[in-house]
Amino acid sequence: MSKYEIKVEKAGANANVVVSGVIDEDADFKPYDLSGATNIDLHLGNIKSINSCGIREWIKWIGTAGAAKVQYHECPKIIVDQINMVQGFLPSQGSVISFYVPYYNDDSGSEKNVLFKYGQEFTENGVKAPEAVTDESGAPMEMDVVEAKYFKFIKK
Amino acid sequence: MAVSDSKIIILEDDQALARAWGQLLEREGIQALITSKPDEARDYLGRHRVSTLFVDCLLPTENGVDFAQSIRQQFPKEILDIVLMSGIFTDQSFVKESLRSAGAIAFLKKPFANEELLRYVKRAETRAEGPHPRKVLYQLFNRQGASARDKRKAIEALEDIHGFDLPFIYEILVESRLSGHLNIVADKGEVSGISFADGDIVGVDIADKSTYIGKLLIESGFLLREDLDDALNIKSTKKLGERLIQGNLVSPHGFDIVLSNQMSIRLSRTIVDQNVKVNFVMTEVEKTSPSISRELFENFLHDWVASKITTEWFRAHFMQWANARVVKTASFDLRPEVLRRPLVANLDGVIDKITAGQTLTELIDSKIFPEHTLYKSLHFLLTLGLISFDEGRVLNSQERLKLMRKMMQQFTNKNRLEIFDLMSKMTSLPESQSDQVYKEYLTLLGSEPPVTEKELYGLYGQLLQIGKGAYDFARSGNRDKMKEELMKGEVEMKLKASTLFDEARNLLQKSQYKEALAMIQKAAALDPKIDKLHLYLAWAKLGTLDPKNRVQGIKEVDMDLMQIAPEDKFDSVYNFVMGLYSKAKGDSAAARKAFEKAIAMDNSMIVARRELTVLSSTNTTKTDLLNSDLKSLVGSLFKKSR
Repeated sequence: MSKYEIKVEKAGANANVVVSGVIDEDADFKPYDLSGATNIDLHLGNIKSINSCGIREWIKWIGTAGAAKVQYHECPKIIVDQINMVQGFLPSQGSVISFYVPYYNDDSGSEKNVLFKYGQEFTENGVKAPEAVTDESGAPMEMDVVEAKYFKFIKK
Repeated sequence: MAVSDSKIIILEDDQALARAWGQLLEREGIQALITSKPDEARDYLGRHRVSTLFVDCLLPTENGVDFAQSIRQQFPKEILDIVLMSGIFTDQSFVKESLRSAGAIAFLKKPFANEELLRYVKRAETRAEGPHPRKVLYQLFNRQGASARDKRKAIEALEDIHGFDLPFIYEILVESRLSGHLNIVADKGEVSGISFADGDIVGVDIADKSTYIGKLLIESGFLLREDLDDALNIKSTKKLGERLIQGNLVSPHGFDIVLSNQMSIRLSRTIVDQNVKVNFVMTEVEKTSPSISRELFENFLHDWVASKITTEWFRAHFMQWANARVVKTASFDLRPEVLRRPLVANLDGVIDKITAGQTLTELIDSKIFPEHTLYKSLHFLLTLGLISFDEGRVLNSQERLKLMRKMMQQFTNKNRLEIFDLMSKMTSLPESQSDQVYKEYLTLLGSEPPVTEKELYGLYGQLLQIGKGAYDFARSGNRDKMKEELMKGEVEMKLKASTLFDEARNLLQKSQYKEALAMIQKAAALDPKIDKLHLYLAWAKLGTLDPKNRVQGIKEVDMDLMQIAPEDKFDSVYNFVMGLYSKAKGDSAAARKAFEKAIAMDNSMIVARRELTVLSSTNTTKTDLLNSDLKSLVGSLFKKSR
């Protein structure tokens, strides 16, 4: 069974892409050329991991989008980290529509990912985190990232 | 910057208000300058660490907003909070525009409650936030009580680091038995990565795709050059390794050993003298073969610390622990084998001396050990978590004076660009983060000494001014121009060094060791980072060994050999030098083997053939099983019989 899955649905100038699984040296993006579409929505919520080979492949692949408007949805932390760190991981004409923010409760050790959406929890001007995030038992949770680093891409 | 370490300025011409605020801050134990004169405030800002500046918009001599604007150009938001105040200009558009133009955090409409004032004073305190992520990482020198999660979080928080931080990060990941990918982005954007499976290193992906397999097989003694040539000549779609194993020329296990050596070379190439960005993706990673286990990793760690990290980096890196003492951790007694490693064993009594209660500065100043070897030894033991620093005591005035003189010494005869580079190294932050560098530099300077401590106070002020000057320069456009100029100069020096080095290598071939040694030393003075410097130094020193002072001479060569980067060891010259070294130590069998390896790697190496001929004419001695090269022994065990 393949470690990753890529589904592309094209409708006219729009492309809806779902990427999931492990993005590494085995990920072959060649069959999923993005050229031709002018609006590309990528849903990344089920990506489990990405290594350096995967990052390089991704940059090459996303480059095939050319000047298309690229939007990343449901970015997990591992993708946010790459957007922040690797130039070209999110193309210059691309934007993030939603991304996950890890939360943690120190006492119980419970972890949870909260989806931040553009226009609600963040805009280009900054982040407005939910006032309270609780775990299943109702205990308060704290944001589990270094904000200055994690939210850097928002102001890029 | 904590409030207790910094000061507040209130620029206000209303005497009654100024007096009341002065009393309030005094009661709160906060040092403040309360003045109505912008020049006085400006001067004070140049000489002191100020965290918040309150400015009345309507001053008798100057427009408060203009004043705030001019100050903002010198001190960014990360360093200084500005709060505007006015009882007259309070309409919304004015407030909005002045907040924007002065980069102020608030506009207080007078009169306002004392709590409002204190709120903004305290804001600076909270802005002091936690330590920089890189500092948090190095708090893990003492890992007692740190969970695997704490360690992972410390690595996840990192972004910009120096390439020399990587060995410590690898060690933390290996020791914590974590699984995942450490992605590394170099300055020019190249992405590389290391994969960990339950603490073992199972993959190293770097931009340089050279395999080194042939060289490694010959060097490790698993294969003869003729066999390799035969295997390379066979037309096959199979990979070289498969061909060799199928042809019964190398055992699968032996090939695995070579692959992990290949991995180690690639790992070593990641440790570079430049800034890199990292992120760790925690995920399940399959345990594959070959891999680098914890035990094997320790060998590599030792070699990297010994050979890759520069004294300049150590000097700046350890500045933050200048007043701390070295203590043994709970793990110390559990790892006696570490003490047998050359970085520790070659410094007689180093453990007793470093844990005798002296601060790091005192240890370095005592000159019991050469500075660079002491740093290396310390860093190796710290990285493995066998020693750590204590909290660091508050320095008395004399000690602080000493430390500041040392800082000043480092800055002497340096231009502003070089000073800022040093500040960047001292704070272990990239130059590009100039605000952060300056902020951390201020933290390093500590709180302002009392005026009564004249010399200390003066030196502190000078360091403050030097730092500010370099910081201003770093933010100006002149910096890039100057950097370009300096780089031109550097290239010229490197070219000179390279020419000298080439000449020295020729002299070595002709056995003119003394002249070669002098030339290599000259080249090293021009370019201390010259490629394979210690390899050729060792060669020249072995050629000039004084029979009367043989033991000391060999010790010196030991130190050079230790500083050869792992990737430079898979080389004919390295094997040749190891042959000379074994010969000097009286181990003819090991010497012969090394010369043979050198010839196997480079058939045209006349010097090695010459040495072999000389050896053949003398009686061979038994192989010293305890002291001979481990790789050779392992190689002879796994090489297929022909």
